Amino acid sequence: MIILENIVKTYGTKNKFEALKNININIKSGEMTAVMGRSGCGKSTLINILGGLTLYTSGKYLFENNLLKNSNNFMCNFRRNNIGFIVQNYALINNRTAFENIAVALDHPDKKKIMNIAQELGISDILDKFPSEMSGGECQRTAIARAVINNPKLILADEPTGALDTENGITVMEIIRSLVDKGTTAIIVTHDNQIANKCDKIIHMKDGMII
Amino acid sequence: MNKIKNEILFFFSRKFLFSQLIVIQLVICFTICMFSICFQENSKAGTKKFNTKYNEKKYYQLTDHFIGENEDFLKSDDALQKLKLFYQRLKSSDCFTYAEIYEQSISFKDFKGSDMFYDGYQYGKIRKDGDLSSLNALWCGYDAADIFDFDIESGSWFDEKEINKPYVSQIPVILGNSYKELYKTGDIIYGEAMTDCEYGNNTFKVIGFLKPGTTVVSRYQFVNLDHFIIMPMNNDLSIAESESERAIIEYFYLMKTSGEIVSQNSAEYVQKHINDICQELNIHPYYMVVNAENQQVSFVYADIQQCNSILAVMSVILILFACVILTIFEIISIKQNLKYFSILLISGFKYNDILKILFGQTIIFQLEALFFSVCALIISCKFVDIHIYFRCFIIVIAVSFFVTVISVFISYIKFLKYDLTEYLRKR
Repeated sequence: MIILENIVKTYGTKNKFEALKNININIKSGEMTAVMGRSGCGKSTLINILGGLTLYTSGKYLFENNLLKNSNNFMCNFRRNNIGFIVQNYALINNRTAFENIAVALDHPDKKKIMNIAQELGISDILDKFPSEMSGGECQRTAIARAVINNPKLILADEPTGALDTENGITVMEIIRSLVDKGTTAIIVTHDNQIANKCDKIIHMKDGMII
Repeated sequence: MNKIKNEILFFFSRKFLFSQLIVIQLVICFTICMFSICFQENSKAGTKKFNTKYNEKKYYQLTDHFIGENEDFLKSDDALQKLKLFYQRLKSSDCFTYAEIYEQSISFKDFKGSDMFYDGYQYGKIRKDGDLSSLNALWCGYDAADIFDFDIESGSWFDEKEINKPYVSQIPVILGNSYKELYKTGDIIYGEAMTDCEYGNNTFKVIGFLKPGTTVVSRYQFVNLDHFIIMPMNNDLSIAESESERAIIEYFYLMKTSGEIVSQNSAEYVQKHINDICQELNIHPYYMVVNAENQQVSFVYADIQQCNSILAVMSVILILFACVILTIFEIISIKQNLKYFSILLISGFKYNDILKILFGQTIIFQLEALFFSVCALIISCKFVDIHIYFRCFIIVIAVSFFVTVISVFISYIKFLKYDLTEYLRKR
């Protein structure tokens, strides 16, 4: 499903810094992959490139055998149609309710659709609450609801359990696993070996390279 | 589109108080700009009219010299006849147009107006004799309205037949615009047209009001008639039966022959023509023509142009100021909302959508500011009596659109430089 060929990402113009060096990855559809490594090894850069939030410097990115154009406009469309993002700190809009936060991802607020996903993720009773009134687990489940409401083919999760306690972390991983079981592909950035062990595949990174 | 509309409204309401401060600044900028444009248009129209009226013609004051030993002329038996003939020759001259105007105060009884209406106000010498107030008045012949292009705001100019009647009953008067606060058309006012003569005690009937800012050239200078009474210059050509009556009619003819000459010809040429008439009619000393107005016209004209230039520069500065203010606001607003934008980006929004949100927010600012500026303009123009030109709205809308595009464009370029992924990690 995802093939990265010799992906290089360089930051800066005068003092160049190579965040990713010749990355080659092949991820199959319906696979749950963990990306592990120390801070600054390039995990987040990799996930941002996969999600089209960051453009790569050189290389090739194939998604479902289609070569993706390395431009902001193209990647915006690609992201909109194919990717669901989950991040460590939930990335919820503070002065909007859970319902409104989920609705941000929809072209037209579809109450039925939001109710369905909320029920599936166990947050139907907190839809009128603001993020400040919710627990970390509820916030992350709301963020997951927003990420998956458009049925993305790929879920990119950057430390999804990093801000949660063990119990909530397990719940979030179970949700992601259930989505993968339904055919969604997931790539999870994590420091946690326990989380990584629950994945089908683990990619280890060091100094911008896969080891 | 619905999604973007919602985000625009949300983004706008997020910093409502701060954004209202920007709106207030924009309202001030736009109002002053629109006011400047209206003022310029008004002054242009005024200048054009003023220029047509004064700058393309030459005005000469005709003045007699029957003072001191020259007063003997007036004592001669045929003086009145000579003056009448001189007057007729002035009116029928091919060399110039003769405007019969003369500044001579008249008195109103129980006058309640301010000192500005009084004769001698500009010199700090006003006269109140008992219940009579000596007020500024301009005595005008029937055709003075055409020559000086007087605009009557309400009522009508003197009737030609009425003006030729002796001053026996009610004298029709037209009042300057400032008198509107004191009298209305049809009011009867008691007073004196000329003291120390049997024409003295009169009643006046208000038959109309001049438009504000009506001017005339009299005694070498521009005179604003807002605080003046326009008195008809009697054309009583009857023969005097008594000595005192003769003196009065003689005085009238001295007034009637001390008006303004309007001509394209030079002062020398006009003077020569006057000399010829005086010589022919045996009037000594000759009447003199004095020309001082054109220089004053150019001064006034230069002042208006200078004023317009200052306003134009001020408008440009205000527009630039609005541009800078809005751009700074947009940049601050983007900086404060980077996490929000990054959330939008991971929620299916494109960069174009964010540009639309920024643009939409600024358009709301502009529409709000334009609405309030138009209201402020309408109120202020009513207050200072300036005509509103539709053109000013078009110009300011175009300008505000320009300001919007510039500020959004600059702030969007700045926005593109941020790495939004960093903000996704922030709490």
